[in-house]
Amino acid sequence: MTSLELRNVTIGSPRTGLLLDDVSLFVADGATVALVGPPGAGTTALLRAVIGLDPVTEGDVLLDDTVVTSLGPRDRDVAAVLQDHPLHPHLDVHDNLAFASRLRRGTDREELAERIDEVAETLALENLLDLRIKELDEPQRQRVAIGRALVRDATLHLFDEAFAAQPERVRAHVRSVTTAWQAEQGRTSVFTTHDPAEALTLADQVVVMHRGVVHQSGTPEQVYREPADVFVAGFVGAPTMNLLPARRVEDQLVTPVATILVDEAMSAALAGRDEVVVGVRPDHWHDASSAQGRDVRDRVEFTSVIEEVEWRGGSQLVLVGFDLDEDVEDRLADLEDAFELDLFQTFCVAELPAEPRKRAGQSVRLVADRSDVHLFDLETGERIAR
Amino acid sequence: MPTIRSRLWASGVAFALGFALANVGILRIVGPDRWVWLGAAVVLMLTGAVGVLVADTQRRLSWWSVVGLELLAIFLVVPLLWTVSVATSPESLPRDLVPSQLSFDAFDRVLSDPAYRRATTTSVLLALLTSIVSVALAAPAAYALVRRRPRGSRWVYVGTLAVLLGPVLALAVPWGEQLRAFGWAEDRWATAIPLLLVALPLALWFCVTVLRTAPWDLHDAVRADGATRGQQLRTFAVPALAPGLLLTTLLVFVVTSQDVVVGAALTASEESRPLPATLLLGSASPAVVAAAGLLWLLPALVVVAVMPRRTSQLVGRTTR
Repeated sequence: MTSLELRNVTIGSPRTGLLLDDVSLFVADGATVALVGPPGAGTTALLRAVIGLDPVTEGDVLLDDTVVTSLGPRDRDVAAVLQDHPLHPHLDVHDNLAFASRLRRGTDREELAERIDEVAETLALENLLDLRIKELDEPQRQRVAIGRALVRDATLHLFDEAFAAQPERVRAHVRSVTTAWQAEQGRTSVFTTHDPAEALTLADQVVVMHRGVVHQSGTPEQVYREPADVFVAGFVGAPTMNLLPARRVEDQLVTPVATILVDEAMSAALAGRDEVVVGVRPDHWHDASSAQGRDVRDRVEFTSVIEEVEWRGGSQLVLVGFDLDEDVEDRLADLEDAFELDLFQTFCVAELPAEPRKRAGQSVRLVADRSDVHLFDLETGERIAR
Repeated sequence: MPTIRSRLWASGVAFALGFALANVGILRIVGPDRWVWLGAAVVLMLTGAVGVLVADTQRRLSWWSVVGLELLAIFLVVPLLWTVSVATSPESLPRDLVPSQLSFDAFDRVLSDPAYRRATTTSVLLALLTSIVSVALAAPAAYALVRRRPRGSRWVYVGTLAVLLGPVLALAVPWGEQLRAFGWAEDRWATAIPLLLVALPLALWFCVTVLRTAPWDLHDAVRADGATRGQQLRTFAVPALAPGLLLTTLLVFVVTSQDVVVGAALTASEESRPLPATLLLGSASPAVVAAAGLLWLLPALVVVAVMPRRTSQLVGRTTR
């Protein structure tokens, strides 16, 4: 129903700490967007600025191409599920659901009652409508908070950590009925989450943030397959991408585990760099002796001794250890400091099928397709396009 | 978690102490004071008995809470019982903790005496005025301190605490001189401003607690829902803040209505004196003073009885 745009929005100052640092973002009319980042990423600050709860220090917030930066929450008409899902303790579930709509004159009572019934049924709240908030458990309260937003017919719908309190079993269901409801009404929705997997499944646009900065904005596939920098590579995906330091020696890239032949295209991409970071997702390594491994044509491969195995039932994680030179470790530590995230390990992880089971101490030959190998700049951490 | 053995030991000690007190009371103490000794003895012996009963349960009881309860019983409940017996014993008979005859003469005299009535009215009016005005001033100040966190707010807390802990009497001399200089010392409202100086920091202290523990995230939700200022007041402030502020007003009312120092030091005549000061300075019989004191306890009891949990939360959080 409405598009949202942030133009160079900054909140806070270098002295007091920046919550958002020159963030620009566009959310198309009717789109579903997930803002994802570790705690302190600035996703909540961004949402509060869009609602109008907190002022922005610089930049503009636009709804449907109209600058609303100086307007209060009432004039922006944005529906929101706030973090920790606050509710009115003295009202019952029904009145909590109806609360925001009743604040506005001209709300059709019958239509509202109908919508509340529909939303309650969607979120499995239909038997709780007469209960007070303190009679509900935490997941139920959170669903009431989601319901409050769904009932409202607002310009834009924002959900801050809206599924975090749902138990694992039902979270996917609550998520899907919420997004389905929003899509059915053609609404523009912005979700925030700390869980990258949730972000990938929720939205058609994923915005990865860290310390008030947008690192990447794109489709879930883009974010997963072409991470913009080592932060996105190390944050999205579970287990996260293997990031290995690599040095170019003539026509080869030497990593602590594998040696990669530098072809013409890669050579052009490296553009004279001698040192880079190589990234391979754990699920892109295959056992060379398996059928899947034998199918890989343009190969990167190595043999090593298994240090540890985590068997997970459906798959197994095979850990292969390696040593790093001290000076390389120092440079990686600098990069980690710059991103404030643990990115580098002294082992490489491969996610293999559960069978045949691997054991620690066994030798394994791992193979990956060259197209699944990512390159990042060792100084800036940015992706090197190929 | 104390062990069963330590609980039994402590219970035994309490029982033995109580037994000793009872013996001393019966053998050595004469007259009505014997009942005070016996009262304390009963408290200790009962503690011992209860201690034996709960010794092997999983109930979490710290010994400090037991000691606290006993001190409370000995230093508060026993004198209170004594006051009740003084107020209800006929003056012609010797006093006894359990009076053989009940007489409510003293209460009648308090209620019908015009001097007491006047003093009571003065006290109630003064306490009403100071509690309402102080909370009206303190609530916005507390909001600013809690929500805006201005620079130097810490010094406001320190100053507030200093005034709360400082001797009220220090206010009396300068204010007394001013009041006499203006010829207001004989007026019923004479002590309003000095009392306000006592009430304001107290009100601020409580209001800060009320506002600090308020669900401000709900306020954000109400704002996000698009509530106007009036709607925010009706849907957030009244349900979330009003009970705390009302309780603050009641507590300040109780404290100011119990004021003796300002009332006794700053008033020049009986006409302007509030009740506690009148009881202190008057020449009434002990029974009448006791009866008036008991009646004057009622507001405090009402507050605690009406909102027991909120009171303990507010006072507990404030001192924490």
